[in-house]
Amino acid sequence: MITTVSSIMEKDLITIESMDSVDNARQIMVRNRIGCLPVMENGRLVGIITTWDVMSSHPNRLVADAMTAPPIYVEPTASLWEAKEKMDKYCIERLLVVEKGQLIGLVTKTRLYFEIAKHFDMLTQLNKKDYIIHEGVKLLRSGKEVSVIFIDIDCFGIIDKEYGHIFGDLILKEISDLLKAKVPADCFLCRYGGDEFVVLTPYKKERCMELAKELLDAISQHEYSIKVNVTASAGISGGRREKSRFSGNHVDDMENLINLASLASTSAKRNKVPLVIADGFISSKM
Amino acid sequence: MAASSTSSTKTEITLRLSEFEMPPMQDALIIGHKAPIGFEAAKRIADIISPNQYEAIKVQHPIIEAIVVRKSLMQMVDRDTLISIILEEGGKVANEATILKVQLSIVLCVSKTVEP
Repeated sequence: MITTVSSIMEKDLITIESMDSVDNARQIMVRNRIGCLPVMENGRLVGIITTWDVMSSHPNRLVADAMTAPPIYVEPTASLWEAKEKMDKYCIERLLVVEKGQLIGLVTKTRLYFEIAKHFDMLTQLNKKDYIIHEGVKLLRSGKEVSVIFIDIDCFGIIDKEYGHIFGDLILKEISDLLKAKVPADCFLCRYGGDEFVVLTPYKKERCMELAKELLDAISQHEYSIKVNVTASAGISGGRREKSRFSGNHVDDMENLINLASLASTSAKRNKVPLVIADGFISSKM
Repeated sequence: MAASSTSSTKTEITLRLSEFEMPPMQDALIIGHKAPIGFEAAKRIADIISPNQYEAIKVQHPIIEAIVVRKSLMQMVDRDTLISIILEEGGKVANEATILKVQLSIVLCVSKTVEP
């Protein structure tokens, strides 16, 4: 499960009819201390009127003649980043949420950014899991190849215990900086958990394996600020789209790919090998 | 001794009657971006008062938001030419807040030469 727009949207919306006046829209906004009103016509969403529209229009005008149309909206299942991309693209502060043609909510930029901030890791300056799933869904939707590298630092608990968590954090920061420098621009990196990182690539299995080896080498060959040997294990999944058994639910498919790669990294660790390729596909209905 | 005073209030009512022009917009209307009515309102007014006689057209112009033109005029002169003329001339006198009523006369001159 990833956080979607539906979990952060405002549901109790005040709307206005397109044949109402701009002055009435202004009064409703002032009375309710809100910055916009979705505009309806015969029960159908036709636009949105914002404080900016009200300020720049004659008060006698019809809302239909002052509103911003057509309305920009997202589905309730859209990810936070999908909503952000839309807001950025259209330079808007408020985004409507529409399901099957019906207006069901509204998301403000402030609320959205506040929520997105929760999915950003301050220590490593990396996004967390949901962002990778969002980018993976985009790759799947566009029919591109998708593969996942799950990197797990070996015995990181010992580093924490021997040197303390402050130095443990320092090592994690150094590893994330290394990965940021090594991960190609068309791939996406995130901190998955404590000492786990995920790289999403648009590569086939073979290319993905090469990249995973490069990243593992970079981690093990780096001279860290405290004298400690750091190694990592990795699991790979995906990269065989033509043979894939995707469910059609892209979020489920991405979560399954990450899960497979995570199990493969555990297997690598257990078998004391640096890299394991996941075989098979775990059903989302396990 | 207290001074006495009287006062009275009179209300004078003046009626000035004139015929309401139908339709009130004559041949064309030019609507500014910040006029008290916009494209949608003008379109609906025209549709209600004179069904099928006028066409409301949204235009790309720095001052003018829309024009409403009598359809019969556009049957006499090419639509784009007519719009262009209205915008060109209207744009010289209109401002964003105005609604201008336009009277347009089209005279068609035909000259034919026939074999005697």
